[in-house]
Amino acid sequence: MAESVQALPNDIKEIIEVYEWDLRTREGIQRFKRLRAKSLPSVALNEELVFEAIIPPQEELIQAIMDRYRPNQRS
Amino acid sequence: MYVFKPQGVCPAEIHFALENNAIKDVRMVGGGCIGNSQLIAGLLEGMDVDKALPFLRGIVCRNGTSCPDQLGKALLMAQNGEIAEADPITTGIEEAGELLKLAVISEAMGDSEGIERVYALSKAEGAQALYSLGNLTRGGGDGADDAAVELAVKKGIRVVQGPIDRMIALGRFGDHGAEVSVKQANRDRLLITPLIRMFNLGDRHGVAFHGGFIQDLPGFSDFGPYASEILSVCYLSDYLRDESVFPAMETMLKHFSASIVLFGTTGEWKHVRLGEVDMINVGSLRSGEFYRYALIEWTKGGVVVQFRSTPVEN
Repeated sequence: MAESVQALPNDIKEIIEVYEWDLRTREGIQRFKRLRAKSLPSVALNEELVFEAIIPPQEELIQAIMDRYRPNQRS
Repeated sequence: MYVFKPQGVCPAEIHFALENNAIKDVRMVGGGCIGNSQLIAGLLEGMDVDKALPFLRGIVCRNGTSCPDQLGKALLMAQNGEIAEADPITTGIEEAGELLKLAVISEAMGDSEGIERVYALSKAEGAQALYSLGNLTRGGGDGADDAAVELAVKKGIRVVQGPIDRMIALGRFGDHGAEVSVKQANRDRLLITPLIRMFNLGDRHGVAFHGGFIQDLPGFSDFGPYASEILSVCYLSDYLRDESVFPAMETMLKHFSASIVLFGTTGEWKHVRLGEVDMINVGSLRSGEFYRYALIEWTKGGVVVQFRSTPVEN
């Protein structure tokens, strides 16, 4: 999953901050539960679970990011 | 050993020991640059904390900090008593000999009569060993705990520590640290009882523990032995109650070392098979007017789990 985020174009990477959580850790499980996720891999954008049990095609991931992007607000 | 959770760096944990203010056994766990970590550990081995700190603090790699910087912070906190030295999580030695059928109880709570009954019944049914998944004792102060511990020793019951057993062993039973009336010899026996026990059942490898209290002990590491089993079962799935996360648990199975997971926290009885892993929640020994236990048998077709009960009045 992290690889697909790394592969995003630079102009997209510049407007996002990426956090990766590991379900082997208590911190990762806590995050997983807070997002009410059920499966892996999962992608949340702005605290909202957007993709679950899927690595989205790059176009879909970019579209989902742009749908939530507000200039002057990095999130 | 100290287990420190750093902030802003790749490893999830930093482990180290201090001996007369000398640094020992530094490990970056759960991420980071393996080569650099080994170099840091090698250079610091045996070095006095005060000598090492100037080399560590203030180095920046990412997020305004670095692994050496976080290690420096941890060493300072350890020196100042701000983080506690943790006892290692004790795992039992894997028992020799092949098991094909075993019996399991949990939360015996000092009930020697029930333990005796299940021991005899399960033996008659071919069980080669009886496991007790914690809280063999209850802190009653009436001699029942001593009797239960001595019975477990006499019968060779394979016991793991539960939270009550641990508090009694450490002499801290009760909210106010009330004095424990269990004999010192039996408290010592409880103290050396492992938190986690491993076993082999046929060609399957199993692990037995009480439950999630282990993850709250200072020595618990998310990357320690059987941590994936403990965290997935106890925390992620809430002791198998939250079935909605089973798809995520299935993804985690590749990190499991055991394919049979026995635990006994909740008083509930449940057997879940995900992939090739059998997870079995063993409830309390006594439930109302019944004694209850689990019989687990290896067969060529897989593990067969039966929950048995017998009336208390017999």
